[in-house]
Amino acid sequence: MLWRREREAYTWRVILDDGTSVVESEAGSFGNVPAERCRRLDLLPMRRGLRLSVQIPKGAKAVFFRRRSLIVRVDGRPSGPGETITCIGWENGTNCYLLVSNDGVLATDTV
Amino acid sequence: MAAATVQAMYYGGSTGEPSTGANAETGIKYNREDTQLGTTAIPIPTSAGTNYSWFKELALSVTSTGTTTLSNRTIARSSAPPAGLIMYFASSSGYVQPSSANRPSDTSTGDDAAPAAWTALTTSYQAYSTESVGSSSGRNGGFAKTLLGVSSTGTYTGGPGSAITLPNLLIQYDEA
Repeated sequence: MLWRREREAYTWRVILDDGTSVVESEAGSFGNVPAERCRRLDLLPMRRGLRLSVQIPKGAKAVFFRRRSLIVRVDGRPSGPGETITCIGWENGTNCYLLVSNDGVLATDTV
Repeated sequence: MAAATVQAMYYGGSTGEPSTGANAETGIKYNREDTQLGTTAIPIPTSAGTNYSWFKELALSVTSTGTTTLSNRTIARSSAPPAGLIMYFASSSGYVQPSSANRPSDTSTGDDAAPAAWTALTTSYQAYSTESVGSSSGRNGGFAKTLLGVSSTGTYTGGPGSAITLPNLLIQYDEA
C-alpha cells in the first residue's frame, strides 16, 4: 500500500538583505537560499490560516525545514504517514525557532 | 518546490543490499529469520536472561524524487512495550544481512540486558543518520537496525501462537 502525503499546509518566502524576495516554488529547496542574507522568513498558508513571519537578526542564519514522521507498525499491519511540523527561525548561537503543525498549532523553541 | 515522497523501507532477504527495500509501513514482525513478516519464534528464557531476535534493518527511501534535501533521521517507539520486552536500535551506514551469526548472543546474566553496541529505543527520538542527502530516488541516509529482546520475566503473554503487540516504530526526518 502506498500512502500519499497530504498537500503542504505552508510554503515559505524569504526577504533578502537587498529587499528582493525568493519563494519556495522558485528556489526548489531552502538549501538554495543564501541563509545568511535573509532578513525575514514568512510561512504562507496554502489553504487557510495565518501568515507567520520571523525577523532574522543581522548576522544570523535563517532556518527552515519540515519535520516529517513515518510510522512502522510492529504487528504486521499497515500504517500511514504521521504528522508534519514546519519550522522557521534563525541561528547565531542564540537560536530561535517557531514550530507550526499542519492544523496551525504553534510552539517556540530555543534549543 | 517539489517535496519528495519518502517511505520507511525494510531491507533484508539478500546477501547484498537489495536494490529497493520493501515498504516497512505495511508492518514488520520481530522473529528469528531474515524476513519482514515471518513468524519463527524468539524463545522465552526459562531462567534469568534475555533472548534476542534477528535485527530488522530500516531506512528511508525516496519513491518520488524532489528538489529538497533530507537530514536528521531519528527513531523512537510510540509507547512502552510490556515489561520484559525491550526494543533496541543501532546505526549502520551499510547493509548487513541478518543471520543467526550476527544477531546479539542470548545472555543468561540477567533480564533486560542491553547487548553491546545497541541502544534501547525510547519515546524520545534518537538520531540514527544525520547526514544531508538530496532527495534523489532510492535509499536516503543510513540504516536503523532494530532488535527485540525477550526476558524471562515480565508482563507480556507469550507462548506458542501468541503474537504480542508492540509499540509502533516512529521515524522522523527533516526536509528542506
